[in-house]
Amino acid sequence: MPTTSHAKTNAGGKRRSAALEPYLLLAPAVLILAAFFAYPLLKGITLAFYHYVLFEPQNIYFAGLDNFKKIVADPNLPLILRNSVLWVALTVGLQFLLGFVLALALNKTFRGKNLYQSVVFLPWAVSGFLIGMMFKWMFNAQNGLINYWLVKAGIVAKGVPFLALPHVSIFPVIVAMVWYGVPFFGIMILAALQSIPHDIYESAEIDGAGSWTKLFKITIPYIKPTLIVTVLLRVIWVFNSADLIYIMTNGGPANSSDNLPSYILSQIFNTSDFGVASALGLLMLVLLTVYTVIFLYVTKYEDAGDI
Amino acid sequence: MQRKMFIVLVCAALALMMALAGCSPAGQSGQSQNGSSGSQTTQGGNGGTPAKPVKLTYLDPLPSPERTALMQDLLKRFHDQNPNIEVEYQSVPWDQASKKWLAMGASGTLPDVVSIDDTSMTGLAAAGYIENLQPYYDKWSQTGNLTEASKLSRNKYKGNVYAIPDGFGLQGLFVRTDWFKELNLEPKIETWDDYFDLAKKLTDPAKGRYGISFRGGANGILRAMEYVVNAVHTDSWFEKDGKSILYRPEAAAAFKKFYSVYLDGYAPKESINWGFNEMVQGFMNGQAGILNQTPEVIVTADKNMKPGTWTVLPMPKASDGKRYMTWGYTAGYAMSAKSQNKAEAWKLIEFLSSPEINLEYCKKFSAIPIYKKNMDDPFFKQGPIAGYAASLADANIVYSTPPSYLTELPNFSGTYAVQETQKYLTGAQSLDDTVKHLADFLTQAQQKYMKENPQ
Repeated sequence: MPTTSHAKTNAGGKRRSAALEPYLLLAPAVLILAAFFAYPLLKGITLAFYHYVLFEPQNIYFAGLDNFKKIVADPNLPLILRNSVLWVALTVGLQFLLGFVLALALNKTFRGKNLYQSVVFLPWAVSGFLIGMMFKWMFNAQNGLINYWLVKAGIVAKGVPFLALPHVSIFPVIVAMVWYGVPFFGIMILAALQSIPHDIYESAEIDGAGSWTKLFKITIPYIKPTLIVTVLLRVIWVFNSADLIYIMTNGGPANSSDNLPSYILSQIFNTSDFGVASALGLLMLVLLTVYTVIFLYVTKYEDAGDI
Repeated sequence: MQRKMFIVLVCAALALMMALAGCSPAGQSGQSQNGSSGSQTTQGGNGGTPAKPVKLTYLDPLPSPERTALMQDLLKRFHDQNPNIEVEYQSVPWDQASKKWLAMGASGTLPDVVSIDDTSMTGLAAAGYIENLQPYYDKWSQTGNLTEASKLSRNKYKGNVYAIPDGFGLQGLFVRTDWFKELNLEPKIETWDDYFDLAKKLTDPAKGRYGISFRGGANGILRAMEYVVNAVHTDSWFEKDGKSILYRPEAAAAFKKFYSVYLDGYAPKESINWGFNEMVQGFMNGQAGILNQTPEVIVTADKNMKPGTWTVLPMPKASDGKRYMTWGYTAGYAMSAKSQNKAEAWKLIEFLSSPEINLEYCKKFSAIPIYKKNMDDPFFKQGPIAGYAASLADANIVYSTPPSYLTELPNFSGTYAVQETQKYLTGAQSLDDTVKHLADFLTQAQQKYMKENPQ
């Protein structure tokens, strides 16, 4: 064994390389994270403090808090933040509620369940752009399906241009987003429900528990970790999503359906001002971090156990 | 121990690789790459005779099945004529094109030959990402055969040519001739007053018909300003001192008149958000009778509408009998300033801009040719395309262009003006405030430009 004899003569070196070994093994992962995650993140954060407009490559300089001052002075910002909260609260709230109901319904056996299950989970597999186009068409005032029904049912006399009305146009997008996201909650919650042992329900029934008691005392506590994680992820996801807004209304009319990311998108797209856009991005990062910390604290995630 | 050495080596190699990958955009934009290959460029270019194999890249911002096929065919024909030059075709979707050019320019990876539009040209030239073509243009054998419109077009930055136009687009009015017939009207729009008059006459909400396919979304302001310059008879958006013409009361009145089409209900309510696609669809699916658009829409209309139900009319005349209008290109040929084979790149531009190819290209994409001789081709004398050619052939034409030299223009027409006009159209903001905000924005940008670029 040449290795061992060699090692014996140089015990100190061996100890040093043994101490180094874990770091070497971690190095590839760390380097990949550093190159593709940490570097862009740091770059984005530094950009937020620079005057950086793509049209003016000779005119890049450290601008301190100028970009943030510009954001705070932006008269659109309160509206955009309000929209973002509305967008997340309504979308995730409805997705959660409907997804939970869906999962409860699918947790029973009935004829044709497999077929039904694959059909209701389908929206999850459809591209966001397609969904945007579909719902845009459905909400069309002239030829849209929804207006057709409303007129037939006598609720309105004439097609309503939902997507053209300020402060209304965001709701059709929320409807589309809810439809898009229900299966995600459905799948996650259903998986958790199937892990609950049946004997617990049986003994609860013997003790005389009704369906509501079973739901609130057994089902929900049992799947609480899943609920917390899915809601947490979903909020971040929905908060960050701009595709449906971009397709259905492009934020209009007059920004009344813009959320923060779609606003950032239009900022970058037309101003090429990466400084301001990065500052908005940083604002988003801070908001989401604060949200995550508060959310985990309020839901006592640590006490809820592992999933 | 040997195994450990191996791991150390692998890790070191990996670390180096990562570091290089991470730094590459910054590294490339430096001069090292350009400097080292500069000598090679001149050899390959001027020598010519030894025919060293050269590889060029061409970036197309308007990929579509038809266009991609034609462009690839043209590149192949170029390669057949110049066996030593191979051209690789690349494309980027139009919606991302302007960002892509800037990003590629910044990282020094812009392809040798790029098709760009006249609005982006200024920004790219100002940033030094594209090559000054004036020296090539001066020596070019075809320079004398170009139309007046080509010479006047926006392909110059600080007096130097930076792009050779591929063909011109200009505005024209698509009209539903069958609707006109039903109402016993002649399909004719002579003046802007006729335009507003017909907007009203063609509207019939009970049938779901509206006069105008209105553009309330991105770049809709360009149409409004087009009417404003015609109404006040000027070729510029600005006064001599850099103040916006919108401060003039008659310009504000024209602005009001233009948007009254929407406010009075002569355009679909949803058109407040409409951009290019929606307004074209709005015309084709029978929601609107008049569409102000450029010639590339002819191909789509041909495909989707019954023959005999539509045609294209030249833009209306202002009250002084002139047309104040712009004609622009969307895919003019420019060269990367970082190209390592500039002589070959110019050769490709020369080939794509030759009279024969230009005629073939313009016929295929309903663009107005850049050569006088090509304008006489019967193709441009009949049918919808004649509606465009007629405008450019008329002597009473004034070249009036949006201020594409302003780097703020994309932001203005794509975001700022959209928000402001939508506020006006939804009643959230008064006319006076809206016009003032727009005028202030433009004036600020123009005066900043004038200070930085004294005449």
